Amino acid sequence: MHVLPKTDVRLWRNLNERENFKKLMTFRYTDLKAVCEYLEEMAAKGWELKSMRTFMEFRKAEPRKVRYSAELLETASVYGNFVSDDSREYIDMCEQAGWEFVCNTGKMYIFRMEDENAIEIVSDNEEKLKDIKRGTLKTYFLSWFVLPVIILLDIALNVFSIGSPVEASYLRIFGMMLCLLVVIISIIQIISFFYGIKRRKKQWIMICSFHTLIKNN
Amino acid sequence: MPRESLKTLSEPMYYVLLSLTNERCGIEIMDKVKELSGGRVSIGPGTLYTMLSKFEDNGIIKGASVIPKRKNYIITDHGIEVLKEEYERIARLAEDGREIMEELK
Repeated sequence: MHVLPKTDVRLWRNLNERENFKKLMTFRYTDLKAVCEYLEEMAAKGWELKSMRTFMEFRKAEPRKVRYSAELLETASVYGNFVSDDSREYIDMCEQAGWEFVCNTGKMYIFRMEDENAIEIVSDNEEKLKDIKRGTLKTYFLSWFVLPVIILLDIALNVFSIGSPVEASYLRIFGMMLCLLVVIISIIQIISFFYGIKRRKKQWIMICSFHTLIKNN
Repeated sequence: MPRESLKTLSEPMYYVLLSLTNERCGIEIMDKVKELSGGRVSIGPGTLYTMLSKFEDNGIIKGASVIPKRKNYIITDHGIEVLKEEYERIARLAEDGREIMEELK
């Protein structure tokens, strides 16, 4: 049985009377497998995914066993939900193979299928890992690599320009500390991402997300 | 997409090229690959899409005709060369091992 996070439990109580259900989208591109597991559980409880942007929207349906698949499309843009012609071709090919396209958010495309024996959309695990790596690095390039450099430059400028004690106000030092925190967070994220990739290469564990942590404990 | 040169073909790639000696669309390629390999090799639509666009970028296959919702592909002359080379390589591999394998029997 899936142990729901506290916020979900509160919502759960009056869910029986509702037709729609919204949940904040907290999955990242590295959580492809976790997204699918979550959606499959929701489907088993009678909630069918409708759309996925800032919120995941579910609609009430017959409880059923269904397979979900989440893919990162190289042809899709990180920003916005626009489906390009190339992505449309990708979707067509999946639909020919029996995977129904549900919705997308940025690069993440969600497909649904009832047949349990049908082939995975990306049949090669190595390739899927590559997709995740490429997609994630492209998405977070600015916040992980460019932003910290800019901030560090800013801090350096600040440090060198503090000449007289009058200029060195507490506010300024506090601001610098705050900026430093952003840099540290980016570094932690970069390290955890690459560590995760390395670990998954040895063993195919796609699920290192917060959601599965909750579930397993 | 950056150009990647294809030196040796992977197993699914080889089967996809074999199936594209006739004009085929996505689902037909998947079925043909399964048929050719006796159900041993199967290929997902996502993997196939990535592979086809890589082949197309390298001039190994080309789009033949587009019926709404499905695009047909066919192998190019360059592609046939690549396929022949790969066939010869595999045949050579088997040939090179033959004597030793016969000794083992």
